[in-house]
Amino acid sequence: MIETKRLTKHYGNLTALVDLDLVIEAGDIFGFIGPNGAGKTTTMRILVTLLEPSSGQAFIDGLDITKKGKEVRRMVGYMPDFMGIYDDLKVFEYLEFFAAAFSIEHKKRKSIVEGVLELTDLQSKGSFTVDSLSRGMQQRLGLARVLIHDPKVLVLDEPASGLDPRARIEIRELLRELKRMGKTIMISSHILSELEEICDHIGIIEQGRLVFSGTMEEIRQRMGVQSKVRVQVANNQQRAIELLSALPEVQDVQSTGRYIAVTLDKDQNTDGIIARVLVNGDIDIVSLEPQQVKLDEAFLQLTKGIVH
Amino acid sequence: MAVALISSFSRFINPSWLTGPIFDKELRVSSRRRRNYVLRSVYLLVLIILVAAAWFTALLRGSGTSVAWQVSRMAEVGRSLVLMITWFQFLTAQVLAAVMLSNSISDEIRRGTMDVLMTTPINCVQIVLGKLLSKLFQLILMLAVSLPLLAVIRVFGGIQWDYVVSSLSITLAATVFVGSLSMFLSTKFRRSYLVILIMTTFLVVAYLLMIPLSFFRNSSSVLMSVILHINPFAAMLQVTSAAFPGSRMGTTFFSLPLHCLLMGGASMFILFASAFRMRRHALDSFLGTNAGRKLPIWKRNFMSSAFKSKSSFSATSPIRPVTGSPIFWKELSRPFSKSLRSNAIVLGILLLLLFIFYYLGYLFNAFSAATPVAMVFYSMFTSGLWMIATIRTAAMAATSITKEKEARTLPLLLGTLLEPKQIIHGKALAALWRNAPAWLILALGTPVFYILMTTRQKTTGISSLDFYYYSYIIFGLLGIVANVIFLIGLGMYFSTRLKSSTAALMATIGSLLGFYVIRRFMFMFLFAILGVMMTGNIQVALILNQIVSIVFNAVIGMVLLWRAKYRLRRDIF
Ligand SMILES: Nc1ncnc2c1ncn2[C@@H]1O[C@H](COP(=O)(O)OP(=O)(O)OP(=O)(O)O)[C@@H](O)[C@H]1O
Ligand SMILES: [Mg+2]
Repeated sequence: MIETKRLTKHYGNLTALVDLDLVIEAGDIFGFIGPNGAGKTTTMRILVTLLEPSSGQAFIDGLDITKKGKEVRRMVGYMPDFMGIYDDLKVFEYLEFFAAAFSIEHKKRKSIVEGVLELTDLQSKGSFTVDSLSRGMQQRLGLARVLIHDPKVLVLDEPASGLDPRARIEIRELLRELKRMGKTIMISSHILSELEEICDHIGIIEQGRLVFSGTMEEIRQRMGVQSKVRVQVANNQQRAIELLSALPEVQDVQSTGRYIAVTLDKDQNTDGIIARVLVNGDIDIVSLEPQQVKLDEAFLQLTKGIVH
Repeated sequence: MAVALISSFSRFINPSWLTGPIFDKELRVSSRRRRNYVLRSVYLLVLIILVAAAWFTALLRGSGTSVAWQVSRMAEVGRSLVLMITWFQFLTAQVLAAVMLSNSISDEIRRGTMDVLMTTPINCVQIVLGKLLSKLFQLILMLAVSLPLLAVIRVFGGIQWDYVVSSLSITLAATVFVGSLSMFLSTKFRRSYLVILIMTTFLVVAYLLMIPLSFFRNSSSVLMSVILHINPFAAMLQVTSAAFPGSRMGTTFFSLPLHCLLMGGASMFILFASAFRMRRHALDSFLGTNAGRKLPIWKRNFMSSAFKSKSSFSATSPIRPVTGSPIFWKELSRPFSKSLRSNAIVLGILLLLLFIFYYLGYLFNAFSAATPVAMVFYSMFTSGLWMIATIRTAAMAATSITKEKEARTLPLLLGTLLEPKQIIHGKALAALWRNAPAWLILALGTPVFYILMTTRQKTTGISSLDFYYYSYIIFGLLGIVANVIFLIGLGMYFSTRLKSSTAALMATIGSLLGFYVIRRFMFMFLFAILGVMMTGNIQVALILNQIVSIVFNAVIGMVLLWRAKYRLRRDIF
């Protein structure tokens, strides 16, 4: 659905994007992740025809974005990172204005606006002025605006920034709903774990280069995700460490105060081994918690190499 | 106790305290801004063009050969050049001060940096002073550019340094005053173009108050003396006429130091008022939390209309459906029928004023038939209206795109199916529509006025509408159309090219001033050439000039509008 070929963008001397090759399949939710200044916003602006690439090409549904600007705009909905708000319009007027700007017929506008208000759960706010909405509601209004012309592709730049956990979950639900409606969604974030649950594919960008692209599973494998177990014993911690260190499945054992952090080899179900060894060694276990390596940590590991 | 007082007082008058970190920061930022260098170069360029044009005009006009004649000729040219430069400085400095400071406080608040400033130990007075002084510093640098020019022209003789010095002090005092007032207004109003409009109206009124002065210069009334002391335009007129050898000197009492002192005192007062206001109101009003404050209802309504432009009013108003061009609909920010009604009301008021002014003139004529005073009153009214309509139209066009950029809504707009053409046209149409009453009066006023003049032919001496009057009427109409196209084109162009409303406003108003001055001298130039060529058929020359300026305005306006459409998609971020 979305494809870029050697997409490059220079701002004066600064190179924001270098030969970016992206492929996003129809119906996917694609997570676009990278640290500050990586080039996420730049890529998205190019895709929605607001910025011209310095070189390279980009296609949306097979249409060249530099040549078929208007057709592309008809097909995509873009939500910028800092969303502008017309402070002297009401929510309903705001949406109707954009409906008119997308040349939706006068008769159909009302029902369409009501439809998107319902989808984003803003029905009761129709007659509020836009600037009287809370941040989370404004964000939802932004999503409502993006949906007004029923685009096939949604490009959302950090739609969850500045939202409380509850609103984040709501947005996530909304995105799932949109995916069910068959839309292709590209969504950017700094935080990998935030997208983990909803994205089919992930692209990681760093200093204008795509450093990784694939499914969540592939990311886990690629990064060699290991599992950690945190153990607390009632007595004789020193002996417990010795026993655990002797195990072949264990990579590393560290004592962190009252806890022992045990790092195990890849994805083996080894929780049982730890408990058995300790019980056999006559050590009382207070607690034993398996811990997955946080995706964010993995993300840091992955991008670390490129910066230096 | 006394020591503490003295130390706090000395701290207060210590320059580094007065200016403080804000002054530092502003200077640093402004030295990084290209616009300040552009401003200075453009200013110098316009000055040089003016001087050159005046010089050539003078050369073309004269044909004497004797040395004595040459010397007196030189003196005359020198005098008119100095006059032109000092008045140009006087006007430009004030207008630029008004524009530069029109968003000094509101911008800080809009970007949320005011909250941060308020939490630092920087005092409100320091913020206000720092802002004012740094902008004034830029202006003084700009004015200094023309000093060498004045020094060179002095070689021609014919004018005393006295005049240059007093006109400069009046200019400076007026600039400080206008700057302070503009800043004060920017603590009150969120939109800078509103501030600029108020300031323009203020300047136009001050200018108009100067005109009757030339009639009553010899009256020694206290009122005249007061006007001379508190109105920079009047003061400037006074020192100008005093500089002319053999000019009728007014007998009205006027003291330059007193004038400067008064202006300075008024500026100080306004500055402290700004600082005080900033403390008290600015923050919570801008944040829209003034509902909690117990304000009288009229005041709350006024404040919300000023700050939020209707949003608070419309809390209860019905939702208005989007009809026609969405951009035009949005720009009107109220139902079309209502805007039609208010336009009709404004038109009615202006018409009424027109007739009042005309009859006032007619009444005056009753006892002094020597000059058509009606003409003077009429032109006072129309020139005032013309200036306000010009600035208002240009300012609306100049802020139309930048305000979308500042609100970050331009990307949303350009992400829709709207073509740049539709956006630019919708905004241009809105700017035109919202100023339609004034332009209509200006367009129709002239024919109506001429017709009225012929009906009163006994007193006006104008007997019939001959060919020239018809052509004036037609070219007057076309001229206004062309002028409006030019204004909107110029404003729209800078609005698409520049990022902030202030920059766009400054560029638009600055180049407007430049264009008008240049065109006026082009006219003089043309006139002089024609005078030489055809021994002066004034009527033909006037009509020719009209045609030239109509074509000039319309073509430049169209080209700029076209460029604006072309650029709109380019400078989005
Ligand atoms: N208008 C501009 N002019 C000059 N440089 C720019 C401009 N916009 C972005 N850049 C630069 O391009 C690079 C990429 O910026 P971009 O906004 O795409 O990053 P991002 O991944 O969206 O970052 P963030 O997570 O902070 O939003 C940055 O180094 C930035 O400084
Ligand atoms: Mg970004």
